[in-house]
Amino acid sequence: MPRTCVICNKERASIKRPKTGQQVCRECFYYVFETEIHNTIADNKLFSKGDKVAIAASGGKDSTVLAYVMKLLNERYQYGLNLFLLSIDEGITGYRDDSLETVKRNQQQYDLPLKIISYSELYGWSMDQIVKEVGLKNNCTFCGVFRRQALDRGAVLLEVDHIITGHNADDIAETVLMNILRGDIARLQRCTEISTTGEGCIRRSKPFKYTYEKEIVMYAYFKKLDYFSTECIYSPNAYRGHARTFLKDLEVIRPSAIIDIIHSGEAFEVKREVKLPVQGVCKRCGYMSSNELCKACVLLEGLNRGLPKLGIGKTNRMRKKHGDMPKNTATIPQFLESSDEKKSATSIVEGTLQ
Amino acid sequence: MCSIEETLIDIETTKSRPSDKNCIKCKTSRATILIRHSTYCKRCFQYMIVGKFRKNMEKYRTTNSQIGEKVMIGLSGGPSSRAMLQLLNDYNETLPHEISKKQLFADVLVCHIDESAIFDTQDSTMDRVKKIAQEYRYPFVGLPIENIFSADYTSSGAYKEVLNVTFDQSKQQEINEFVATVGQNDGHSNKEKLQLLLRGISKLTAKEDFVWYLKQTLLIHTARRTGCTRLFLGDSSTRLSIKIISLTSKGRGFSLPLEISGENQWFEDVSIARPMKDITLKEICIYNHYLGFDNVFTSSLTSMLPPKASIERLTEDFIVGLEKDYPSTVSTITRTGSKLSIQNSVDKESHCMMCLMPYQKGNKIWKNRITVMRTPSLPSTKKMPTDQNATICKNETSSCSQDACCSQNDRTKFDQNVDISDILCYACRVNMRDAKEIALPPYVAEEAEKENRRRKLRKHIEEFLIDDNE
Repeated sequence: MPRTCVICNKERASIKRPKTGQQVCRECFYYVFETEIHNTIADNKLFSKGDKVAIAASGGKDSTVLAYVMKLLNERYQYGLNLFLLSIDEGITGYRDDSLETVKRNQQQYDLPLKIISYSELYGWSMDQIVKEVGLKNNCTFCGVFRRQALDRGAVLLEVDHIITGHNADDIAETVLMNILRGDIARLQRCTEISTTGEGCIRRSKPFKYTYEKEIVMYAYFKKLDYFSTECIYSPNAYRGHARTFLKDLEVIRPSAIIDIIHSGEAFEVKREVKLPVQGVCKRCGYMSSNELCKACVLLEGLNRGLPKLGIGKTNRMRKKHGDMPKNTATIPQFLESSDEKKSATSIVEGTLQ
Repeated sequence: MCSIEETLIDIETTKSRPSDKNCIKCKTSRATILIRHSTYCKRCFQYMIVGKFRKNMEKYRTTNSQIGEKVMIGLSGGPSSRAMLQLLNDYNETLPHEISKKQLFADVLVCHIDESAIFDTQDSTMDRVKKIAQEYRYPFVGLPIENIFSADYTSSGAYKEVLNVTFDQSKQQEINEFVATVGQNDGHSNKEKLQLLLRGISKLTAKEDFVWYLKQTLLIHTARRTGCTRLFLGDSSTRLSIKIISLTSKGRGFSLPLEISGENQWFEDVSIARPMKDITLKEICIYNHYLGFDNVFTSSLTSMLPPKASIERLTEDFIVGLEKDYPSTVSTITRTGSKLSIQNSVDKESHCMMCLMPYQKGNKIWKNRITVMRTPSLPSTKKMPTDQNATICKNETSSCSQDACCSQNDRTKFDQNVDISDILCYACRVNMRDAKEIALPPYVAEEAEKENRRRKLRKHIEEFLIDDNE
């Protein structure tokens, strides 16, 4: 017997909603999916009229759906945003080059300006070269740290006010668990915030904070969105893998578990007497950092000096043994310094800014 | 996904077995135990366990305990509470030569809750646990868990009624669509009532959660009635790390700091202490082994079931598995947990009627906004909350518009609708979705009615209250 959609009571139900278990029709699914994102944006007052917003686009499902939905909501609810696509080219052959093709197609489909910023131009190293140097262990650290900065630098070049990323509810719940598991109290408190702002740093938000990964896939599938769905060829962290498996199992037992974890994460409050790292600015490149040097600078220094382990683990011990950085070592250009430097940085960035 | 926030985890890939065969403490005796990377001989090991236990006990002594306190030990019969009984006994004992030492606790009571009613077939654990308590000559209070349905375990000690909660099947897609009425508590025996309650809950995760809070309520009320000012629970560090993750997963982040703390005063007159919180389950088992203690096997709802039976069970499997490969898992998690605190804004008055733990206000609205259940073509999304309230608290709204109706309500106590939508914490609300038609024990009914009365009174004086937000 065909079931009718529990929301409209008219159409035939064709989807069992992962978030609630409701049997719904496609149109109603689209409606609730989009409205929940709109509610998240509206309740948290993410944007103001006239904002220039960069969508961090990787070509994967999350960012493709994000670009599609943002364009849609921007028109439907008249946010009045200027949207851009911002992509990072990590330089991973057989992975990023293919996914960037998807982003370029998205640019055509959604008619949004695109900027691509690459690791090799910003840091002088592509991920392929880094992996050759450091091996398959810890390479994700380099990639993650470098990407965070690259996005901010790309945003400065685009002169946008705001970056939005495709982090979904599953990602955030997983991060809450990971931060408990590795005892990172500072991040545990920060990771459920929908927006992050730091001094001299561009606002960054996650409109998909309460959106289930499965529903994003579902949305992309039914809307026939063009996205790239290959896992990165450099395998991900094993420890995080455990947390992810655990989360997926939790979701099977109780579908609301993902939202429940985020709810817990939002309620966490750190004891007053616990010391938290103070956010400052990197002495070398001017990017925000809780240490004297930001992680990217230390990692890059390690690469350039042939000491890839410098930024991994015992930095101080390595420093004692090998001394400080020689004068002529290449560093990352200054972040947000003067317009002069901005121009020179622009020259090294390739891309199709329209 | 390789996350942006990924940091490095220093993991020793090669597990180095210590080459030194001697104990790391005394350096003379041959080591027999390996705990993480350290080797101990039997004597130094026991010394270490006692030390960890005493360190916590000393804290209680300095914070707020008076000499000659009367305390209660929760003894399940499992390894951890068994060891705690021994350690506490040693700690509280005054040897003949210690004339100047004052006994910290004047009276020690042992309380055991027998859960056999849940399983029906299982033998009672009461006698075996009682025997253990008698070895120490402590007075023993044995309670069957079904006693929670007795009026003795309510704040007033005389509240008899139960709270009938029904879940509207026709609206099963809605969250929070339940109707609650105060009903007469009779007909069945307490045991049958408990079994009916559990049968009315379809998921094991919710059942386990319910059972724990029933037990906690029983323990608190028993401590109160017997004049104990402190309740000792035997949670080991392993247990606590599992709890941190499972409470988080069930949406209990708000009350989590209380539920895992070494000591808390949430229940004002009875403080809860967990002196075993720094000892791992493995250490406890070795300790018990040396002393020749047997465990009383107590089964749980998920015994003998696969890991995916419930959230609690899955978390246990996850943590125990991780601890094997990464031996710092448990200690890292408990350290993280100990850095969390309950929010300052928390109000002792606002606690959940089910678990008695603090709750966040407005959690229902939070959920309705991010989980949209209706389209605007039908009763609109915006209208929905009022819609919902109308069905739940029909009596309340009508009663307050007409004074005559109000007095009428007071006369007919039974079958009166009680608005419970705002006195449940987020996690208990999630649990309730797995329930169909249940009768909650008197303590819940009492809480619900008390809160409803308070709200009605508040309405009368509302215009004279000054809101901080204004």
